[in-house]
Amino acid sequence: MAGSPGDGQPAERRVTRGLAFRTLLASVLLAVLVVGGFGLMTFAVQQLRAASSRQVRALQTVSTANRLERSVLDLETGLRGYLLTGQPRFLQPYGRALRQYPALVRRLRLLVDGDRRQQEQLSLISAQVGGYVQTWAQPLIRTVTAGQLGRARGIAATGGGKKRVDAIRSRFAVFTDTETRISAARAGYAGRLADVAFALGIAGMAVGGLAVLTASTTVQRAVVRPLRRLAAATSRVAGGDLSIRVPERGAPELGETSRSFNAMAASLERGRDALEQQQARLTEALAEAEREKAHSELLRTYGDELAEASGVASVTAVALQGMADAVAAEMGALYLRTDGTGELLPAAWRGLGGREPLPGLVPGEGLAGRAVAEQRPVQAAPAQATLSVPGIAGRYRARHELHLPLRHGDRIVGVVSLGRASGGRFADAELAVLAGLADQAAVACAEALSRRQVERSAHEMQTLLASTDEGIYVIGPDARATLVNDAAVRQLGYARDDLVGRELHEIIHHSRADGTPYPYSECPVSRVFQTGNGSRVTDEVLWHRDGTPFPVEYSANPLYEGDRITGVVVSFLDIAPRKRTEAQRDTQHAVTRVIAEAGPGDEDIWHRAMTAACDGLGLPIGLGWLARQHGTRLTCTVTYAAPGFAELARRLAADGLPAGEGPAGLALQRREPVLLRDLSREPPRTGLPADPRLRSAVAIPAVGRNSRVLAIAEFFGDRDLAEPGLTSTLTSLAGQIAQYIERMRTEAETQRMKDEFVSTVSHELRTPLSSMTGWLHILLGEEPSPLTAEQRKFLTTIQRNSDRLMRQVGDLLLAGQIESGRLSLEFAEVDMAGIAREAAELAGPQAGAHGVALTVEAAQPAVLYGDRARLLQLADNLLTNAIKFTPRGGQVCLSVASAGRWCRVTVSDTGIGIPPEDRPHLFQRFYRASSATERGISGTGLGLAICQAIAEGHHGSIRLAEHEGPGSVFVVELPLAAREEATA
Amino acid sequence: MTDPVTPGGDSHPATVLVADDEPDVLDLLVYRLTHSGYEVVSAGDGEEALRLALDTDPDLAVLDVMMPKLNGFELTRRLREEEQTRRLPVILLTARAQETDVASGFEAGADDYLRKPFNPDELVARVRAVLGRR
Repeated sequence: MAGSPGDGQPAERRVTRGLAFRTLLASVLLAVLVVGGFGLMTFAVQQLRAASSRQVRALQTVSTANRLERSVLDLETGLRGYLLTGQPRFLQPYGRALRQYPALVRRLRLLVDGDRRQQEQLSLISAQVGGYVQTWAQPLIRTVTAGQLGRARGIAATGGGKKRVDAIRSRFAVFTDTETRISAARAGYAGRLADVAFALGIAGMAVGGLAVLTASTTVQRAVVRPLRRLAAATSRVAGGDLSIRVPERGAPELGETSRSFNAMAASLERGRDALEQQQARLTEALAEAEREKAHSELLRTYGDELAEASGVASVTAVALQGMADAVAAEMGALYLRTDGTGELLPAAWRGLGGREPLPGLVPGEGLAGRAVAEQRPVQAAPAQATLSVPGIAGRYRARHELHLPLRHGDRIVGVVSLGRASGGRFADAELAVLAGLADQAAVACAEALSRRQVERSAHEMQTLLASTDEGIYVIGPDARATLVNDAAVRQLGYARDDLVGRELHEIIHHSRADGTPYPYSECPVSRVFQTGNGSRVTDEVLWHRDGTPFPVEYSANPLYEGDRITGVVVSFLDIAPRKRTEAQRDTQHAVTRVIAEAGPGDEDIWHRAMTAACDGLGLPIGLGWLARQHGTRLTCTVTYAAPGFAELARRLAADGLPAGEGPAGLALQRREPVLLRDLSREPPRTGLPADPRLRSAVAIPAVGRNSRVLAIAEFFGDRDLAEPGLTSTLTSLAGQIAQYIERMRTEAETQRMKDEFVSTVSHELRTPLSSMTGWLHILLGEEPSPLTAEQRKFLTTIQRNSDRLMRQVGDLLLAGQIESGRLSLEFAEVDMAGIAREAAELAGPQAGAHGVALTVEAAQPAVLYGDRARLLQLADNLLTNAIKFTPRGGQVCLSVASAGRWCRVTVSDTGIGIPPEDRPHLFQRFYRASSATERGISGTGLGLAICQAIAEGHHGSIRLAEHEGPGSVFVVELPLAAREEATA
Repeated sequence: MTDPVTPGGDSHPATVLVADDEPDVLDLLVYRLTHSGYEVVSAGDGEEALRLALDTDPDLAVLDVMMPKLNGFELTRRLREEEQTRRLPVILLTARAQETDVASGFEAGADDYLRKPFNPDELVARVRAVLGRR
């Protein structure tokens, strides 16, 4: 209500002094009046009550005094009776009065408290009573008690008692009178006072009533009437009449209130006007908001439709339709900028074109091109319009056209051309709506285009990943696979879902090739994350789902996003096939080498070849079978077993195999390789339980000429042996083995034929020679000789040549034996010194014929264990040679000496010697020194070879000694027979 | 040939059975032994030699190994089976140089052997030695 501040403040202060002061004044006056009257009357009543109380007390005092007086009388009476009678029962009243007396005195003292005169009277009375008792009554009683009743009576008779009592009684009379008098005086005073108070009360009542009447009138006039006016005005304001005003009269406060009211009413009136104006503005704003809402609803719907559309075609169709519908355009087209060229191609259109495809747009050309080039909407006037719709009577041209570029960021995605055949030009509101739609359309088109690009890229990537044989996967920083291609899935044996999103290292790379754990922290892949450098690894394995490792080569390269490594691409290749091929090739070389290096009669070749094959191909068991009994049965001739497989190999090889039994028997029967891939289903031998360590077996026949199976190589693997190239490698090796076997057999046959030939020759040549030399010997030995000197000479020549022929035949036979390693020696204890002397004796004639001096130094026996005939041949050969190569007049010396455990036979000559270039070849068969051939010295070139064979056959040696001077020195060293050995 | 050995010390010369399928060699053997003072009985093959050995009861047999019908080894074995010839000394003549041949010769029961081609003097020496051993 204090609606008008400003001008209300001083008035209110004035009013506060006025109305409050007057009210206070009237109240104070009235209060003084009432309090005065009331006080007066109270005083009067107080006086009356005091008077009354005093009277009561006076009555009580009198009564008590009377009782005290009576008790004094009782004392006297009792005493007198006692004195008269002397009987103690008369003392009873005396005793009783004496006992009551102090209490009565105390009560009386209380009653007269405050009245000094009376108190003094009472003290006198009390003292007199005390005196009576002490000085009169008590001595009398004691006298009586002492038995002096008479004396007591005498004393009493003096009347002393009576006097005393009378004095006391008179005192009582005074006391009582005084009391009565005081009481009466008080009563009179109180009565007068009451009268005065009553009169004053009546007067006060009259004055009060007058004052109340006056106040009531004043309030009525100054307060109630203005209030009523205000109330009426207030109810009218409440009813809406803001123009009402009240007179500003009455008490100062009320006047102020009225002014305030008037100010308030005026203010309300102004506020209502402002509110009405606001209301109008609000309504307008609401309408604006409705429009905004419709606009944003349109944008939202448009956005939703665009979002629902997928694919460039669908998005552009929706985009164009929404924009055309929004402005009721009958025709329109949406062009998109294709990547690469600047040209824009139509992606969606309405009403335009008909069946022919719309031409593309070039930025800057045409209205739409201009919109693109200038990056702003271009509106065309009716005359400039370029769009048209095919109709019945030709094409309808658009009256108004609008070309809106679709901008996404700072890039022009495309352009929308809209045309209206009717209606006005595009209004600003429509342009605003279209701008909003165009923004959304641009975003949607850009997204659709980039999505199409991404999809194309992804498709290309998928195709790329699917079409390579390299396994490829991508590892994220959390070690989980984010991508695994088909080749990787195939090579690892897992389903893609088993790998993607999992920690791949723990699944496929958890252990090294030797089975020891391989922590991810040590894996090159994890190091790529740390170093950012790609790496290439060639000597590790990955683990297939079936728990087997396979060797791989892989490269790990980082994937960057800015400076951050977001993943590592691992590309791996199973190099098991390559390693297999290498192993097969190496094995083939190894086995071929074994076969090539094999010497004649080399029985160990089979074991070496089998070991090379099994080692090279990693096969635990290999068995070599020879075909027997015309190819109906196999006998195991060579067994290879890796450590731990020996017992198993022995059981597999035992007892031979009939054709058709086991892989080897089947290969024999079929004459082709046999592969049993799963030995758990096809046991390798009847009755032999399958060993879990052997998974598969392969048997390869070595087929010789005429398709005859010569041998079977049977291999057992702890893996599936259906490996590419394995069978063909083994078959190729088996072919080599077959050739080798046939060659060996051929050689054995050749050897046999040679032996037979030698045997034949020895018989066929020697028999006639024996006959010839025998007869010559007889003829020449006849005595007396029937021959002439000339005949003897001829026959001697025949004999010499026969002997030579005989020796050569012997040498040839011996050479054959030496070559085939079958030189036969007949060992016995012999004396080399004796043999040497015998040889010298035999050579004597030849030496004589050549004019060569032959000396023998063999005095000490040299016993050794040897073949007498061969040792003689050895010595003879050396002597014959020496004589042959020593010119006439030369010297040949044969010596035998023992040195330690050796017997040394030395043949030296002073002959032509041996040229140094011939020396290395001296002991080769059929080699003849150039010096011999040049001088026409005969010989077969077998002598020294035979000597060497004989010396070595005795565990000895022969050599050409280095020496000074002409000629040659041959030294033969042979082990001496130990004494124990000889007797044994 | 000037000092023929007579068995048992009597004046009758010892009889030697010689068997060889080569006539030239047989002639040589016969000639040489005859001229050395022995009574010689000759056979051209093994069977004949066996028959003669039983008929003539020789003091020694010189047998070629390589003979048709009955070879030297077999012949020696047969001679050892016959009571009459069980103790007949046998010298085998062999062209073969094989140790096994020598071994099988002794196995068959031969007393000595001589390799072909042989020196006729050596043969005579061996014959004398074997006969003297008895």
